[in-house]
This record gives sequence, structure tokens and C-alpha cells, in this order.
Amino acid sequence: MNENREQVYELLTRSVEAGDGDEQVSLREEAVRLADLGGDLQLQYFAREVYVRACVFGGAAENALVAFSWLLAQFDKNPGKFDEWAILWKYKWIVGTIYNFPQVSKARIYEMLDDLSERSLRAGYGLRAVYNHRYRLEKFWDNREKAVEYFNKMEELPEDGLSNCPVCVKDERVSFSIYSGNDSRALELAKPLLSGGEKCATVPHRTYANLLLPLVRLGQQKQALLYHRRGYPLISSNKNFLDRIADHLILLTLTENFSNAVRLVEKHYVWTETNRDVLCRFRFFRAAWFLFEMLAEAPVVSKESLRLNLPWSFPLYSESRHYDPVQLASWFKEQADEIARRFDERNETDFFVRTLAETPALKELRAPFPLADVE
Amino acid sequence: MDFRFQVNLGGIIDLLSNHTYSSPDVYIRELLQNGVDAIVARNYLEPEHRGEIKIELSSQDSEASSFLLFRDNGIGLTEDEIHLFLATIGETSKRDGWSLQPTDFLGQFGIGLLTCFVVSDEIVVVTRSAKDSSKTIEWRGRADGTYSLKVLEEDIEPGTEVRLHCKSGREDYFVAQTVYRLARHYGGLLPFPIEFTDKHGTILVNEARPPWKEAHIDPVYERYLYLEYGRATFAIDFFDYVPLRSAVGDVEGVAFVLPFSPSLATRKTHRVYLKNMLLSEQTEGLLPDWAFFVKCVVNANDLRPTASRESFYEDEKLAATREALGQQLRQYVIHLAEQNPQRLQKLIRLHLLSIKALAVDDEAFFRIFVNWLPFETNMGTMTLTEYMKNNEVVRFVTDLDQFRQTARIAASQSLCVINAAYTYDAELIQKLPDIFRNVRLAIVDSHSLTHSFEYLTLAEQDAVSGFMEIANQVLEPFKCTAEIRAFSPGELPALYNASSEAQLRRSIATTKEITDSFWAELLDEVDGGLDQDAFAQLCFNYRNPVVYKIARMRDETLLRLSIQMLYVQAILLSHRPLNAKEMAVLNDGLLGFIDWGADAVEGWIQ
Repeated sequence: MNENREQVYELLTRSVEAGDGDEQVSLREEAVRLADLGGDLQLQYFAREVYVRACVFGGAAENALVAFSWLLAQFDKNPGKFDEWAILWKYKWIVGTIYNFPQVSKARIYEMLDDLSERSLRAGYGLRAVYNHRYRLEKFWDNREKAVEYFNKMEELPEDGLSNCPVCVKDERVSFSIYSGNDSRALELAKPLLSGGEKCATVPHRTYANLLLPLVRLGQQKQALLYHRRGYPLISSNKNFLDRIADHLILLTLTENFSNAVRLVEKHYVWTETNRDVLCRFRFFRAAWFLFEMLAEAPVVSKESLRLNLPWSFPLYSESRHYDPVQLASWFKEQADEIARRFDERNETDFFVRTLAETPALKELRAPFPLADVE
Repeated sequence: MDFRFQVNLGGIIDLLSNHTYSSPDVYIRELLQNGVDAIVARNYLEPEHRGEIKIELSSQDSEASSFLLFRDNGIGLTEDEIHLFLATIGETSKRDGWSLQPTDFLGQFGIGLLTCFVVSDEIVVVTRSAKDSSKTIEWRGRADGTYSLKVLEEDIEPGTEVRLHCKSGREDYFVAQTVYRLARHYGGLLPFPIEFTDKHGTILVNEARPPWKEAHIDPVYERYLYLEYGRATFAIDFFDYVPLRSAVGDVEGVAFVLPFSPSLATRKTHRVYLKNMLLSEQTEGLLPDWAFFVKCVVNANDLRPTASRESFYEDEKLAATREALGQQLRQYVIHLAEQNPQRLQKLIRLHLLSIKALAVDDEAFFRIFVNWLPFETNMGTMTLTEYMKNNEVVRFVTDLDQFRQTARIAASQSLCVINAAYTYDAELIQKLPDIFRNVRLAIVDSHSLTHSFEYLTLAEQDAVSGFMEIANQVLEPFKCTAEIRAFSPGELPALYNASSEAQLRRSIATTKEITDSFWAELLDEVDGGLDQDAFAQLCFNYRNPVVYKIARMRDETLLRLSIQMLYVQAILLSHRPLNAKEMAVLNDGLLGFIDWGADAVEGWIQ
């Protein structure tokens, strides 16, 4: 019994040192397995709590969901035994990713938010956090009016124990400005987040990625590439950021830094095989499609000249490493199409299909700027 | 003449002591900074001038009445300048706490001086400018917001003297050892003498120059000097040192290689001087992310500090400096590989993660280190080149659960499998084809490894087909399929494998046993999005005598019971906890067997 506990703790200690990512997920998964073998409920609960965190920040949302449902069930079955704030905080994470799974029905997602809402109030918290997620959800379905309404409702409420960290709050305002079409305001709001003083587990990682396209729209390619330089290293080793990689990929494509863009595909394609977050995959497939579409049109690129180092698990894997950009474009497009169809079917909109249809129009923003000229 | 500050001085003092700087310690830093600035300014007018700073501590009978004299022979202030700096103080108060960044000499002087109110209720400044035949002026500022200004009769040497009276409650900052330590801490690298005097006499605060400022002739002595310096600075016996220099940022210093793996929290913080004054001991961002195996002491003359003066502003210059310093660390490791393989081995043992992180981002580096980096396999630790010598295909698994499962199978098949669950391992292995043209890679899992087991002959397959059909029926509710092969060791009746997707589906099934209906339905929906063919596998061993028997058993009830028991046993052997359904199978099965055994042996029939 004690030996089991020690093994669990040893794995958890190692997992802390590993930092966010696959290794941490793997170590904590082992810890959960061992804790389950030991059968001590406290330890099983604790191991799963940290496992959920690792999964959420390490790109394993589906594992997080399964472990979280276990936690919530135990929490409800054992009143007073486990920390209420801690379970609600995790609930927020789950609510924040649940709609990325197209197999989960719309009704159930709303029901989940209602449940979180009720539990938050019962625990004495306000609804700020819930409104934050209602905003994100409506934004996700492209229900703009409601999204704005919820964002404003959120901003009217005071901070409480369940609201996000101050850094995330600022980042949310940056995203909202972009969403509202106010790119320059977003840049202004992002300033304190980018000067190095304010950070958390995902900011300024995602802030940089968010600002890339707005900067291109404002004609500030150089600044965008500079943010790429700074922001990319923050996300390059954690598959949780697969969707943000897509933002960088689009920037490099639009500025015609093709070989850098191809490098990103080479390096991160493999994440689409292990990250089951469908939205993340969609965004990466879309960006890769856009890249190869542009390459296919580029006069210098032919079937012979495009050399790509893709892993052998890639369905079109070619041992010679030569790929036809037209084929690659259509493969990535097919993947994105399939996901778009599934999302739209569930969401009862045509938002995703439309997003894809509008993607080629991004070409209008193309403006070559060599990355090498950005110090 | 007596005046009153136009601003609420109490508010500023509170701001300074609570919000801008980390501790009252910094009053020494600010006094030193003021002295340095004054000396630099005077050198600009008189290049031959030799700057010096004198600190004198006079303790009376009790520490409460002790006072501190701080004298520099810098440029000094004229009466006009004093009025200007007072105006700056007024300006200062209008800004918020975090932007208290002095922009000019007088601004810095004023703010630096104000920090002294944190330890003293009265500040006396006696100063005479070196600029012209100006007068000696005395300024007395008090924490209550009043100050006086007068011209003194006697002339002093040009420069500035600051006199502080220990404030009650701040006695700790007027102890000789503390003052000396702080002066050395912040000003240890300053290129002109700082003298400290107390009742025991006078000593030089910064007698030694840092090792990178010395011309070294003897490499053994150089090593000794550097490592001694590291020990004196951090109280650590470092493993090695790497001198650092960057033209961008005008940086020089040394990186000490840690003799242990640093914890995540202490990684990447360095002791950094700005223009020879200590900026911070916790500076981040100076080195590339992978370089967490060193701790640096550096002086930078051309990087921009942040407002709180505790790290650098993240700009292009800092990025270029980081790149240059990173190159030097990279060169050091490569140099070890070429010149001192033994020390390299030790370095790898200590800082494997750091080196792998670099190899992932740098193909040329990986090309060299592929010969050195150890990987864990089911047959012990080896490098990738060693592995490739004996294996045509590089087989690896990407998570610990799979490694645990495959290790026991692979060993019995004499297959060597790499555990690539650790950070960077899988990424590095995937890069092998970039370096070795013909290498073949395979991600394996326990499932795919069973393909290497021996198949049954057609006749044997015929003989067990009925058994297999029933086995698949029995296992279906557990999302498990049955296989049969012949493999070693013969004592093992069956092997349970689950790919990570099958494992996730199993977790879903197990979790559903305790959740309410809402979550159970949600989990079903999630499961619906996974690969519906992702089943676990129970692989029976045809070499096992019991399996051989069961496979020919005619009694279907007994057969089903046996299959269930082998399934549960295989799960237990794979060190997985049983879920409620499996537990029920185990209990019912055991009782069933006892009942059956009793009937068979004793013939009890009621």
C-alpha cells in the first residue's frame, strides 16, 4: 500500500519536472493506473486531478474529459470530501474544449454549461466564468450577436474566484477586439502581454499567434514576422498548440516564406495523428491546404522540386520524399472538408464549410516579406 | 531657506519601498548607481580623472544612532541642478508606480536618493560641481516632506556626499557586514575602487576582477580561477565553465555548467550586471530555452533593462544576444565531443534533457550527438547508433503504458524496442532518416508486436476455430478481440494488449460505471467519435498446455467460463486495475470453478 503510494508520488514528481506535454501526460497516466491498482480513493482522486491538468495543457482533451467525469462523479458521491473550487476550475477547462468534439451534441453542451452555472452559484461564485464560456461557445457556432452579448455580460460582472487569471482576461479582450474587427485596438491591448512582464501557461503564447493575421491585414508584415519569431518558440514543443501553429503557418505562407512554412508542416504534421482535438486538427489542415494551394500555383514549384520530410505514417508517404503540391493540397483539403462537414452538421450552421470556401480569398493578403530580413 | 515638496513624499516613499524595488537592500544599489553615474559624467569632461567611491559607517553606542556616509568624486551638482532634480521628483509622483523609470541623469539621481528614505528619515546631501567654480551646497530632505537648501562656507573637493541616519526599525541595514556585503553584491564588478570604512579600519570592497577581465596564459590556472569565481559567487562547485562574449548587447561573462540537473523553477535564471552594476540575480531570457544546464554571470553594456530593472526588455537586440551566447554554448558541447569525450559523457549524464532539446532544433548538432545520446530500451540503455548496428528497423513506442506492455513481449521475441515516451525522444528518432538515408522506423505497440508471433498451421487453426469463435463472442462486450499464436514463454496462457485508443475506450467503459446518466451518455458520444475498431486484444498462447486443452474443450459453459477467467487474469498480469464488470466476472468465475470442481471431484449433487 505504502509502496504504491510512493510510486505514485515519484511519478508525479517526475511529471512536474517534465513540464507541459506528452511526457507529463504519459507519466501521470501511469500514476493514475498505479493509484487505481492501490485503490485508495484520495490518491486516485489526486492523481486524476493532476492528470486532467496535464491533459488539458498537453493536447489530450479527450483523456481529460474521461478523467474529469470520473472526478466529478466521485466529487458528487462523496460530499465534503474533495475541494469544490478545484473541481469547478477543472470543469471550466472541460467546458472550454467540449465543443471541439463534433460527436458531442449541441444540447448536451448547453446542458453542461447550465450545470456549471448552477454549481458555480451554489458554491457562492458569480457567473463571470460561465459567461466567458458562453461567449466562446456562441463565437464557436458563429452566433455573433449572442457572443457579443455574453462578452459584455461577462465584462459587467466583477472578478471572483472562478474568473480567469488577470493575464488571460487581458488576452480574452485581445481576441474579442479581433473578433469585433478592431485589429489596431487588439494590438494596443496586447502590448502589456508582449513586453515580458505578464505571462501564464498559455499567454503570451496564443496572443502572438492571434495577432499575426491582424498585423498582416494592417500591412505590418515585418511586425508579424517578428511576432512569429518570438511566439513560435513558445509553442513549438507542445501539441496542445497545434491550432496556433496554423496561425503561424498562414503568416509564413502569406509572406511567401515558403521553406519556413514547409518546415512547420514537416515538424507538426505528426501532431495531427496524436492530438484528437478536432478543431485543432481542422485549423492545421486548413492552413496546410492553403500553403500547398499557394505552392501549386507558384511557377517554380513542380512535382519534382517539392521535397518534404514527412513521417512515414503520413498516408501519402513517399520514400523519395518528393511530393506533388496539388496532391498534398487536395489531401489536406479533404481532411479539413470532412471535419467541417461534421462540425456544421452538429452546429446546424454552414460556418465551417464557409470558412473553408473563403480560405483561398486570404491570398489577397499576400505580401512577400523575407523572414531573414527580420532581426 | 526652508521649502516643502510640492508632492506627497510619504506616498512616494511608500511606492518606492513597496512597489518598485524588491527590498530595502536597494538603497545601497541606488547610492552606488548615483556615484557611478556621477563618475562617468565627470570622466566625460576629464578623461584622466580616477573615480572612487568611499562608504563610511559610524556606529555610536547604539545602532539606532549610527549613520552612513557615501561619497563619490564624480561630477557633483550645481544649485540649478538641485532645483531640477527636485522638479523631477515632482514629475515622478504623477506617474504610476511601474513606470518609475528615470530617463536621465538627474531623474535617476532624484529617484535613487528617494529610496534612501526607506532606511533614513533625513537625507543630507553635500555636493560641489566639478563644472565651474561652483559653491558647496547642502541639501537636507526630511521624510515629512520639508527640505532646506544652503550654501556652505567651506569648499569641498568636487563630488557628492550623502549622509543617512539610521531610521528606527531599519537597524539591520546599518550593520557593517550588511553594508559591506551589499556594496560588494551590487558593485563588485565596478572598475574603480570602492572603499568601506568602519571602526575597524578601511577595506577595498571590489578588490578582485572577474576572471573574464584577466588575460589568461596558463589554461590550468584559468580553469582554477573561473571555477573559484563560480564557487565564491554561487557556493556551487561547478562542473565546467564556458567564457561568453557577444558583440551585440556588448556582453561578456561566463556560463557555469551546473553539477546537477536544475529543477524547473530554478532553470534559466542568471546573475546579470548592467554596465557593471548588478541588475538582477533572477534574469530570464538571456540564453536560449534549451540552455538550462548553465548558470551565468555576465555584464551587459548595451541591453535595455525593464522598468523594475530586474530583467531585460524583450527586443531584437536581446534576441540577437541570446543567439550569439547560445552559439558559444553549442560550440562548447561540440568541442567536448571532439576533445574530451569523458567529460562529455559526464555532461550528458547530468544534462541529457538540455542536450536533447538542442539536438531537436539543430540538425548539424544532432548529427554529432546521435553517437552520444543514450536512449532507454527493453534491453538496456544505448545510443541510437549502437541500436542501429544491431537492428534494421528502429522500433519505438511513444508512451509509458505501451512501453510497459511491449517490453515484456519484445524481450521474449528478442526484439529491441526504444522507450520514446520522454520529452524529445520521439522527435529525435523521427529525425533519423534525415541523417541516415536508409534507416527504417516503426512505431510499435503491444498489438503490432504480436504480429511477430508464430502463426498456427492451417490444421491447427482448424482445430481451434470453434474455440476462437466463442472467445470472440465472450470478449465482445469488453471491446476485446481474440487472437491465437504460439509464443514464448510457454507458461503464459494469454497476453492482453490495448493500443492507446483501445485503452481510452476501456477507461470510458470503466468511468461510465460510476457516473450519472448525463455523463454516461456524454461519454458514449465521445466514444462514438473514436475508432470503433479500436479493440483491445487477448492473444492466446498455443504453446501453453492449458490453452491447448481449453481450445479443444467441448463443454461450452466451462469453455466460456475459462475464457473469461483467462481474460481477467491477463488484465491483472498487465498490471491494470479491474473494472466492476471484470471484477464480477472474476468473482462469478471463481465460484463457478469451485462449484464445478466440487462436483467433478466429490460428486456432490443435491
